[in-house]
Amino acid sequence: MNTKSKISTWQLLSVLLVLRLLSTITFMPILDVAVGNSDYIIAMAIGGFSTFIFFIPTFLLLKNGKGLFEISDKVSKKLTKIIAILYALFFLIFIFSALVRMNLFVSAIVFPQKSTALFMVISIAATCYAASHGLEALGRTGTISLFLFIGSFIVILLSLIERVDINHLSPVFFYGISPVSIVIWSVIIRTVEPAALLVLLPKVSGKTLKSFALWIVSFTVITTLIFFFLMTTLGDASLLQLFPIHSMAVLSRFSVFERMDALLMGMWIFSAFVKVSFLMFLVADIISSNFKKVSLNGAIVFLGIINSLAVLIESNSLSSFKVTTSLTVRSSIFLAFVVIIPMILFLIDKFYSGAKE
Amino acid sequence: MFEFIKKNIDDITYPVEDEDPKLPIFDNLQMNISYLKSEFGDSFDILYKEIKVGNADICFVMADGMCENLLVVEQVVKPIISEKRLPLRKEKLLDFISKNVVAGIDQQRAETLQDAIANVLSGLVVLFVDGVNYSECFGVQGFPKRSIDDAVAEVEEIGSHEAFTESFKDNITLLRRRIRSPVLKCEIVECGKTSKTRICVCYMSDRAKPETVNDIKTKIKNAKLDTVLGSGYLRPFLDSKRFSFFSALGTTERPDVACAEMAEGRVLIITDGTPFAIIAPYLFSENFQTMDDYNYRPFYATLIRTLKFVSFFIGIFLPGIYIAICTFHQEVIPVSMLYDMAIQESITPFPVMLETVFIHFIYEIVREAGLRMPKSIGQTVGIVGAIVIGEAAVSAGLVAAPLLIVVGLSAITSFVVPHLYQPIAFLRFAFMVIGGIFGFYGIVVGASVLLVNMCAANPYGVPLLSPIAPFSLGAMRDNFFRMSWKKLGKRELKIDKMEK
Repeated sequence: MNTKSKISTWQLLSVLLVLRLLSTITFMPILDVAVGNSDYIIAMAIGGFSTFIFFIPTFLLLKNGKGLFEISDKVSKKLTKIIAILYALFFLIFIFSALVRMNLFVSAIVFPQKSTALFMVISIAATCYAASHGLEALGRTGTISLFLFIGSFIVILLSLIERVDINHLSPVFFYGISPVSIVIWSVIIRTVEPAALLVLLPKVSGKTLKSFALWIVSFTVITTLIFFFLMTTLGDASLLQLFPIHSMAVLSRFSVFERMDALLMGMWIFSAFVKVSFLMFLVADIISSNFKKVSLNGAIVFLGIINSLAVLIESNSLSSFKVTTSLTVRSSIFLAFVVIIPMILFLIDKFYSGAKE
Repeated sequence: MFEFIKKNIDDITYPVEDEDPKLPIFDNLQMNISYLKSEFGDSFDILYKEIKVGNADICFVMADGMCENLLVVEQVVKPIISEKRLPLRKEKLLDFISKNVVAGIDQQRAETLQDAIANVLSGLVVLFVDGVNYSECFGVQGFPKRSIDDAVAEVEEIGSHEAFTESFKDNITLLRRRIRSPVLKCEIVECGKTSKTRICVCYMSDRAKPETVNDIKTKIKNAKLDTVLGSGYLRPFLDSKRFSFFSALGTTERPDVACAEMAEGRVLIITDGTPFAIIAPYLFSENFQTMDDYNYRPFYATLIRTLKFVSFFIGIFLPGIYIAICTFHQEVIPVSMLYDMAIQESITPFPVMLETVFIHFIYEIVREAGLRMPKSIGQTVGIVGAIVIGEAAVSAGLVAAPLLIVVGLSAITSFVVPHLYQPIAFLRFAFMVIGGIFGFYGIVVGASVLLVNMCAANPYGVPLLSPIAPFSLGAMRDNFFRMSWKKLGKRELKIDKMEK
């Protein structure tokens, strides 16, 4: 992997936090379980902190300071290529998932009466342009987008304070603990961003271990806070909305501005832009680093074309969307790419280090 | 198609080639004079004065109007003619004259005819002696030039009023007066195959990175240009390789600003004949800083800077957002305001986007006309444009009154940050079109692309957006906020510390 251009841990984790928070604000209550609205708040908190357990392999690799491909290189180049292909496909799924969700948002909220195909193709072209600028530029953009994201949300949440009503909350565990555990699990398996950290580890400078722990705490606190505001302002009605966080922003009012959803919409699109650009760069970087014949920009253009075609084909059906949101599919992907493969590679590294000694 | 365009370009242009090899000066005076005459042709202003001194033929060559005639006679010609101790051997004559006869300090030796010609054209008197294969050049320059005047483009309220002039030696003097330290280095680099323009690279040797200085000098030397008539010619060679809407180079006409920049480790590039110096590398946030900020009290300077940042965003985005809201997102406007706006817009014949682009287009024409006209007429053009056309357009029902407010506001705000006028004007048009076609969605995507473009700029290893991204808390003391001199004075900021 090309390690020439390095970014700081803080910059990379800012980008990853934006990615995670985007997933939070694009939350759709599509789980087929009966859960009380207050249980969602609890699930967010418990789910967030539970990731500490599932990220043990990540922590171990961070402590070791070696990226996934660095370790697989010790075994064989072929293994590296196989893992590279697997992770490229893994991130490609998330690019596609983000684009499908963005398309759904644009067609449902921004331009309900227009075809969104042109918007999506132009957006993908813009993300390709951003990805071609490399990790440093994306890292800096991520830092700024995190500031903007948090700032915008503070404005939205402050303007919602008068609408907060604790009475909107349902009794805790009203439908039992079992459905809540499914929500907790769905929170855990959606936190796949650390896989990017493991892939990009050779390009990151700074203390990763403590920063990563702080990252988990930050996203858990912010997500829980957003859900607290969501449930206390909208109550059970939030679970009937397509995009509940957007509905919450519609209610917010500041001075002469009747509603603040334009601010959320802006942040949503901006964060999605950062997410797709970053993942696009990541996949292109994995491919170009492990397959020398492919250039970074060539891979980005190729990915842009593939994603444009996929979005155009799938824009009128929700079949892919269903697949990408399926609990089984998500669980398998999470366990394979965030837990099992990193754990195996960590053990391999330990074995090789032991053999050397 | 491309072949046709290329052929067309080839037909009307010629490639700028590398310099011809230099010809050594002949030891025959007549051959040297013939060569110079063949090079200068019938130019009436090149003067040749052949005289006999002792037993040697000598010739003075100078450009009329570039030298101070009185100095030429008093300091060069007269002492040589009246000198009684001149050596008899021709070979020693020139050396003796330069060391013992001519009193001026500014002297240099030219060993090639090209260097001799360059010195003649720089206002030096060149002395050739028959039988000697080099020439001595005496600095007696005295050409007409503008005196040091008030700054025009960077007007300050409390700070110094002096500005650079077209004479680069005067400009260096202005710098030296402010930094009386040997660490201030001023190195000359020549650029332009025909114009041989002198470019002065100034920096403080204890603060500027040697790699940056060398990089700049190399870029200037390697710039393939035939003539360099202004600092703008060099900008593309010194700026970021990758296209960026915002330049990584700054310009200033103020010597105090130039000194402040050098004190932070930056390099100054002064082009002979241009009253503006280029600053490299330059941070984006510096466009919002003026010398007055440091003379005002910190809280007021902070307020002014905040206003400038807000103005910058209004200048670029307001018309685009107005179009997007009127066309796609009417729901964000308060109902009472929406009703008034709808009435106003309903009486105009054009779509909002066309209307806005049209009015901005007229505004840019009026601005350009006002700028190029003599000052007195320029003001009239401005008044006619603003009041007559604007008022008449609203009365005739061609444009809506709220739109005129938006255009006026965005026009005024773009002048708050004068260094950024060019990108602001271009981006404003771009976002108007984007807002009209793709609404708020397009504006956000466009703004994201712009942000990435800015984040990617990394001129001379210093990110354009630092200290915002990458974030540097220490440098924020003089960014959005301006802390007191008690704090700022304790530690000087260094540009190379902002790398990464």
